[in-house]
Amino acid sequence: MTIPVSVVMSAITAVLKYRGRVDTILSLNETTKGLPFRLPPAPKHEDRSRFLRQMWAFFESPTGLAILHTRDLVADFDDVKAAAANNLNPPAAKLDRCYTLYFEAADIPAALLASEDAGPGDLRALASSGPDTEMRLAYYVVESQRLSRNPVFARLALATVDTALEFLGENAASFIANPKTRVLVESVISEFAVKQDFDDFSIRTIYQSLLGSALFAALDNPDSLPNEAALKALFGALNDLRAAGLADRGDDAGGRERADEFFARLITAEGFRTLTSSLFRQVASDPSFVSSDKVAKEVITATLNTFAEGFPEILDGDKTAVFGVIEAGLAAGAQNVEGVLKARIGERPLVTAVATAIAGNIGEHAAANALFGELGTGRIFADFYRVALDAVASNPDALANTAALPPFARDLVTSLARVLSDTPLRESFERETLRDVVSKSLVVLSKHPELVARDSRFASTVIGAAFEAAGKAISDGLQSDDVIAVTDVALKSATDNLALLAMDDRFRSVLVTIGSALGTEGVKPLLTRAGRREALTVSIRAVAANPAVWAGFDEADILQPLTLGLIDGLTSDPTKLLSGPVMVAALRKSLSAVARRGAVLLAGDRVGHEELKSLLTLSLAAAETEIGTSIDGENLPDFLERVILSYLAAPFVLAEGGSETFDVFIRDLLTQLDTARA
Amino acid sequence: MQKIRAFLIAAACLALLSACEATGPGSGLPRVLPQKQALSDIHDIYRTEFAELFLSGEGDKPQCISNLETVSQPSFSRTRTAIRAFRVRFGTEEAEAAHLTVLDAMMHLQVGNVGLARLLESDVESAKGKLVSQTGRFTRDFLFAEHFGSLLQGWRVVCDLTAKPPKTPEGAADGLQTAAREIATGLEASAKAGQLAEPDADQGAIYLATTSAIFDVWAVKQSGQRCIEQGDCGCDASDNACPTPAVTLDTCAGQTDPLDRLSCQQDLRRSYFNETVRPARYAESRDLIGLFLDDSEKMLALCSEDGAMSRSTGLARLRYLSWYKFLSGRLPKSAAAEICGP
Repeated sequence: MTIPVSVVMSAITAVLKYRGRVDTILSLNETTKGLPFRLPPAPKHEDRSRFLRQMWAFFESPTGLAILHTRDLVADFDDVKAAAANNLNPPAAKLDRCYTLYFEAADIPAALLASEDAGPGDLRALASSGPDTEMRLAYYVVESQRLSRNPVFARLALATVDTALEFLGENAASFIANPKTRVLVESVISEFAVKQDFDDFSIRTIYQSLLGSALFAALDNPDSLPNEAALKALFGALNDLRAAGLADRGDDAGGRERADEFFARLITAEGFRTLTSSLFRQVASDPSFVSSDKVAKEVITATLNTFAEGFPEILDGDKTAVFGVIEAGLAAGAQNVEGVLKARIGERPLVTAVATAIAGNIGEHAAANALFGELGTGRIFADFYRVALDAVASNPDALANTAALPPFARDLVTSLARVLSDTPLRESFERETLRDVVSKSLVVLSKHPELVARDSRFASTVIGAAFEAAGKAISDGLQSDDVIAVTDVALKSATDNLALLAMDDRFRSVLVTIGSALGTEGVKPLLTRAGRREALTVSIRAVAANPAVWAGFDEADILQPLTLGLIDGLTSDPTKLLSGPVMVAALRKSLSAVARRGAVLLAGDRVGHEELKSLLTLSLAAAETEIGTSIDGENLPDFLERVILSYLAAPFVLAEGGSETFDVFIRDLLTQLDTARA
Repeated sequence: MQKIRAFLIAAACLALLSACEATGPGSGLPRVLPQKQALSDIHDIYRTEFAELFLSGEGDKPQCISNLETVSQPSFSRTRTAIRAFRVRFGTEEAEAAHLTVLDAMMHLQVGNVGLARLLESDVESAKGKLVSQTGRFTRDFLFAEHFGSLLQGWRVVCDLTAKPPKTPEGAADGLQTAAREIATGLEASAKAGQLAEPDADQGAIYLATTSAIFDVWAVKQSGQRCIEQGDCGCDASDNACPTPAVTLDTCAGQTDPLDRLSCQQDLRRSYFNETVRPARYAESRDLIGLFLDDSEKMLALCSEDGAMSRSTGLARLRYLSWYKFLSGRLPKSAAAEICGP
């Protein structure tokens, strides 16, 4: 088709001329073009009341109740239920909130266009669609953290999870799932979240610290799983203490803050975790403690209050003293619930009364003596207490009363204070090591409660003697373990042998003399440090076997020369067999033999230390010639014992360089030795 | 003669340009028809943004803007930018600008930004005079502007009720019912006066009718709650069917369990409400929508098998039919039977 140019030009002209008007016409046409417009949102549910039963059941389930807590709507639902119970219409606003939460939590989809004939089964199906209910609960808890005013429930749950993950990591879930360990968490929650206002200024910090300590202790004692009762007692008492502290401050916000700061320091102080761990072990070791949580709580509360009111310097200072006291008190209580935990002296529990008595006396002596003031704090304070409580518990009839306890506590502290203040060990050890020695010695002492109960002053004397003797015997390379081992043996000997008490201060004198003798230059090459310690301990046992004779030696002023004569005689050994264990055995047997025939030495007219020294010197020289024939390192101590026993039974004159009589004497003994061995 | 010639040339020109415009995408004439092209572009952007906001996924539609986090607030930002550019270029006095003013206000309303929509209320009112068609019938934009106050009122309450957590403003049911009634009354009067454009040529009337129905469904829901849960059914004790407190307490006295007793009382009130109050209200809403549906659409909504309606109807009108069907479904069976016949 041919288009005439003129026609095209006409059209172009027309468009150019009228395009404005045409544009307007087409624009108006464009304004009426179909455009989409959104309708308003439709209601999800035409009649929510059809879900009344489902909502009711959901919020009465554990998950539903927990979700109510996350939104702080428990009271709303309770009010709805209360209205129904009272034949009233539920409060509209509260019902609104409950339904809204239910539809959201149960993830009920829009039902407006669903059939209104839907039966209960359909509604249940609607309510059970969507994610797992536990997952929803987790969502609500975590999601609530974003809210500016999130509910206590959610904060508590998140604080618990946070702490559990910090201490338990991936094991947190299994820890909480385990019924035996979940009670631990439940105890803390009960005391510090349910019984207290979790909205308090610093309760979250306190709660997390306590829970952390409890979890740490549980990890520390995997074989002694926590027990609800024990933890209830501890946490209940702490709760009371905090509440009392806050109450004392009244409405003073700053004061309450300081009270909480103090409390937070208390439960984060060194020793608290140890106390918690100890509780686990106590309960595990004595199931009867389980049913005594109320009594235990009373004891802990009374003890804490006693320190807070009467000895704030102790509570403000090294808190291991207080925790140690509680730990020791509960340990003794767990072993004897009726006799210790439940026992009372006057208005106070026995455990608290003993703590008070000890604290008062320690305070007095600490003021008078700087070294004791330094030693009698913290852990050592608790050790003092443990000694006293164990002693009282070992003889409650005599000591657990208002008349006997104060003098007992005074004597114990006074005598121990004297020993510790005067101990030569302060020159041997650094201060921290000395504290360790003292602490361990007191622990050892607490294992001999009968001795302490019977004569605390003598018990202190034994410790002092052990310290001094060990210091002299071992001086070269003396270590704290040496002192403790010697102290343990000395105390055990004193406990096992009542006659030692009669030695009184002479026991100290004997031990120190023997210790000095063992510390002489002649002995050092023959015994190692451990050997010297062993020699001292066997010497103590030898003394304990015949205390009256040793006291007699001391009284007759022959103790030192006799001991030195014995030692000098032994160290003259030309056989070179007397060293190490052989020397220790020879010393023990020699000391025993000397004491057994001590009467002749005490008579002093026929045999003295010079004779004894000559006897041993000549005998060892004779033994040297018998090596390879009848003497070796094994029977040499027995040989020497027989020499001493036989000689002291029938003394004769010992000529320098020997004699016919002496040779017969030795041959006779060697024959006996061979016969005995055969 | 000169006038006739000019008219013929213009007619030819219009036909030519219309033909050009009808040739499909990419055939715009921005230099020849700048205003029309700009409007067309605005509509395209609007449609795109509408789809992004409201059609991007089932169940993922945004709530009212006031209920959403700031970062996720929906908006028609690109459309609004294009509208501003249009006004700078073509002014604000003409009918096209009036159309855009209404569109702007409706954009705010659709995302539930009732506050900003309210700021445009006087502009919308001013624009109304420029929105009557040359035939004298009310255009979609005119109807929107005419009922903008009611739309604002209804959307505001709906946004409160769908907030998280929901707010229940004082007199919510009454406010919604009033908004629904005002729209319904106006539409009925306009329809009676023959002032409305053909339903299939302009969706404004049926959109408003359905909006009114939704407002009233909310109002009925709130009234139902008040009746069923609070015992305030708005009926007189002289009405034998009225579930007064005395009646419900007496009837349910045998239930000892609190939940059973409460359920029993609510059942009585629900029966009353669902049998007397709700059908009357739903019937009015359904009939209002029905004014703008033809018989075949009504038959399709009420009498066809499930799925036939969605297969045979475009998305835009399907939602109106769905509401018509839903409201009919809450009425006595005879209502549907009248339309579907024997």
